[in-house]
Amino acid sequence: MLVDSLVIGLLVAKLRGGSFESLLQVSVKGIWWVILSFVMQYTSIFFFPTWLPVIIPLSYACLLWFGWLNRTQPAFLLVFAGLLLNVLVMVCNHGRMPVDVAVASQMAPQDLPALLAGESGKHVAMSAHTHLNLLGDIFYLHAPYPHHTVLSLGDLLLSIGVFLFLQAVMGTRRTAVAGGVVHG
Amino acid sequence: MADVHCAKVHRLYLKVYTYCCYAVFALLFFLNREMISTHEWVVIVTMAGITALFELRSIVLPSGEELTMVTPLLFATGVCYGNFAVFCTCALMMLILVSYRPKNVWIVLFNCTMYSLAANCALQVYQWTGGMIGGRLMLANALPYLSFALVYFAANVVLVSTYLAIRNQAGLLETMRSLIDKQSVLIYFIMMGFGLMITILLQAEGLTGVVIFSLVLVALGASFRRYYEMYDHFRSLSVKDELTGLYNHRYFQETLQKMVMEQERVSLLLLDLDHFKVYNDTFGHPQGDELLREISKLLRSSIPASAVACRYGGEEFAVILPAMTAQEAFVIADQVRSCIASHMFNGMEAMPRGCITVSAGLSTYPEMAENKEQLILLADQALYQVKYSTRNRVQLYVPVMD
Repeated sequence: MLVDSLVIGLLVAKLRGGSFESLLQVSVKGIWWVILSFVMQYTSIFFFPTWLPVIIPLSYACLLWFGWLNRTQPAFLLVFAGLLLNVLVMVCNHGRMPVDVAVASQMAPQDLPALLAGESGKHVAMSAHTHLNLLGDIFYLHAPYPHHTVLSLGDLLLSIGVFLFLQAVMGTRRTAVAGGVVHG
Repeated sequence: MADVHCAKVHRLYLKVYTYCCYAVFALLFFLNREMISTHEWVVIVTMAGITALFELRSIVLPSGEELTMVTPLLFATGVCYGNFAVFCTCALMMLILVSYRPKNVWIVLFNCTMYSLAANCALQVYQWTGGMIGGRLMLANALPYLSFALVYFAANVVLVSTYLAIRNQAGLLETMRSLIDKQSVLIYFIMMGFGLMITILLQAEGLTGVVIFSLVLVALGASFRRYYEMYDHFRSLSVKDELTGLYNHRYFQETLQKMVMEQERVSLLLLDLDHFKVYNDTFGHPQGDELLREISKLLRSSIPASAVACRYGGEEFAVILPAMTAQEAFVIADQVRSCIASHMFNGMEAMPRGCITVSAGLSTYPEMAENKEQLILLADQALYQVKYSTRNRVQLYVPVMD
């Protein structure tokens, strides 16, 4: 979804007259924390799944630190809040994100047995035993949206934050026009 | 002293009233609380997001009215998911709006509370009149839908006008009457039509339909806003002088003509900047323009709100003073004159008297003139009496025979 919001954000900003040049001029601090976080997550999911409960919070801690370092950037507090909500629900569920079973069965029925058996990457099937289910993966995006995906509230905030960040830093072509008629 | 005390008491009343509203909101939230399923939560979050978006990017009409889709969205949420879903939607909307604009926290808090309380009253009446929560939308249910719309409107008007009446120290009925005008009632019921449409979409297509419909409306609103801004800009250009921001000569003539035609009492003040040619020759035209701008600013700030300040042409200004006798107008004219004479302008030391001054001529209708042309002519004659004598003075027109 991060990729989606990046692509949509870039497209919309460009349509509104924004420029890629101004995007390149933005100095984001500590981008290495993001790369480190992704490397940690994917290594853990594919090679050391037993370490997941430790690695996932750690990788999210890196992302949170990145969000906090850049909190003065436009809309980054939204990104930070989104990450925080995701960390919260994952920490409460031993490093895994609860996913709505009804949604998962619609989206990828072939992966359902693995999910129910608890072997689906960083996801776990949502049930009465999982915690903070309202913050889990429950928002199902489908047609006419170009592809199927499921989001948590944290993902949603993060995506909106990324979208707004791109709109703010890429600027617009619009120029202000004079306001209304004032008596006097 | 008594005024200060009175204002304090009113502020206290206002606080008590708003806190009572918050308390009722909190109590109803608590009493209506129930377990919500993940599906309901998805609906609540989505609805709160869309309502917040409409609050931030409402559709502006050329008349200045703002269309927001909050009421139709709350109607659809309430009719499909009940009271608690409406409370949650309003609370979340509040959270989103406050985090987006922390400075408006009290306005947002009050508005969202009003929305949810009005929707709560309306939903109660909706159910009393036979409306079902979660039931399919049917023509047979027209009475409950209509009662929702009427009660929501009434509750909203009562709650908001009570607030305004306390704040403005005005009568409650008067305030209510000022809120209920034909156009806003019409717009409200059109918006409730949207509410029915969103309900049908929500029931038939689920949230996807509502999201797409709302995004299309937001996009339309955004492009319309651009056109309305342009319209506003061109309207402003057609009546205003671009350099000074005052009304232009055409607007001056039209307004004065209208007042004289309607036989309203009106005084006319013509002002001419003294020795402006010297200033322009010494400092150049750009600084001359700057001086005209500054004078216009002073002029605007030293006349009553009902007065209309215009740029007559060059360094001449005209002020239309509606419903004013010559004596009242004279007092204002002299205030304007002394305000300009005592102001520190750039380059004033180079002027013949070491300061920037204006000469002013005054005439009044219907005592002195019979028509617009004569009114202007007499003010002009009075102005030239000053110009050819001492300058920096206000002259009321006096016939030469006297």
